[in-house]
Amino acid sequence: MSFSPLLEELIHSLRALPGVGPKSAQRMAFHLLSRDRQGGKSIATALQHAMEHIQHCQQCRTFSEVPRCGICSNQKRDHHLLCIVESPADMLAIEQTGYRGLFFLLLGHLSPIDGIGPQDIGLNHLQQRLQQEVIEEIIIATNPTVEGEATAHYILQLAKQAKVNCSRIAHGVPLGDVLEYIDTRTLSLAMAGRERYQYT
Amino acid sequence: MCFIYDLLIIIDKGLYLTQRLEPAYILHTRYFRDTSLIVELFTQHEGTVAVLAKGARKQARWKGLLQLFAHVLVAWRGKSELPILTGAEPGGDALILQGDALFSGFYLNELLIRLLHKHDPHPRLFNVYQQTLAALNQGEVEKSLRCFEKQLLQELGYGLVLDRELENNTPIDPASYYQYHLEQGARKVTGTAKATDIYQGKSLLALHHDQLITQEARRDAKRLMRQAIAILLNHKPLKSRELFTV
Ligand SMILES: [Zn+2]
Repeated sequence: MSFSPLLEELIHSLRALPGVGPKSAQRMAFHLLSRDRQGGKSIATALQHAMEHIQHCQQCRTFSEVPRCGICSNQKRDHHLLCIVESPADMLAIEQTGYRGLFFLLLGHLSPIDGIGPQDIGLNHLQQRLQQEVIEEIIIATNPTVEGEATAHYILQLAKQAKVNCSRIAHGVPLGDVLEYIDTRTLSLAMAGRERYQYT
Repeated sequence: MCFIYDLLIIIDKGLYLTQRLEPAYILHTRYFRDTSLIVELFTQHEGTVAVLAKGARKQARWKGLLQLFAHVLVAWRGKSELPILTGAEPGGDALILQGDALFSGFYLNELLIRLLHKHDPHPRLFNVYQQTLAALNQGEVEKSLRCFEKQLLQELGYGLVLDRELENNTPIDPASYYQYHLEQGARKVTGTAKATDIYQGKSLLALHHDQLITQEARRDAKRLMRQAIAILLNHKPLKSRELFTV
């Protein structure tokens, strides 16, 4: 049995969402049609607007419908401090720690085997920023994966070239974890990045 | 009925427990669906193999383990295109490549993924890879890369002949100049023309003996390897070379 053409189209389109297979797409479509037409209409309008108007901030590359996003154009923030993250979700996470500098988003990480090189994650753009703006420190907050490590190293070279100070968020043992269950690599990094335990 | 079912479960578990764990290195991982990973392995006895690690992105046990360049002991099940990873344990020291050594590691992995055929065993190359990673970690970047490339060509049936002219078996003269061709080997040329595929005899001999002492020998070895590998890659550039552009 097949559904009407419009319904088929809806189900097919919903499958563009991550983790949504044919069954879930059907469930979503039926739910919206039978229980929540208003909700369905707002999704449609929001999607339409978002897809048409959201671009990347010209300065930090986050999603934004204006050329310079709210953070980049906020004069109260520290414009000499630049934190480099992989994704908008990482940016939000750092923002929640009370960080008040600027950001740069890579929207990915270096992964040559997937065909992702420095240009593909905007590092040429970062290089320009480091040369043109007065940045005193960059904080690298790429993920603690091997690809994140490679990306961090590449950025470090750019910082060195532009003579900008560079720091990196600490790798370590998650709060509340027990050492016994932490994988060797994480623990090796935590050992390598150990800090002096100061007398008070 | 129930009894048979129980028995099957016991046999299944037994098979898993007695399954030999295969030493492997992780060459590449990519996300699959929401929680899984496709892991490309370079195994000691079965060459390169891609396996599906179900739920690997959710399990803390596998998340830290299934990282690039990690030495692991693995087991998988299934004969399909994408077998299922059934076990993974740490295989040795947690090697942490950093800086240029890390970039070089990406280069090695890209070469292996692009040049080896899946499931073709290369146990000798596996050992060379292992030694190369260790050497990279010690900071011997250039020398170890050239050695790896040489062994890789050998494994693929394109071993370089660097101590004599292939045509007439005349030993290479350190002072003469040679044109090097991947299939026809070295051939003496007159004069000292600076064409891109011309090398001085002493550079060929240095690479033959793995003694890349002078800067010129290193530069020539790099140039020769680049040309040889480019042919095998059908001149499609390697993405990992872009990492060395800063
Ligand atoms: Zn911005």
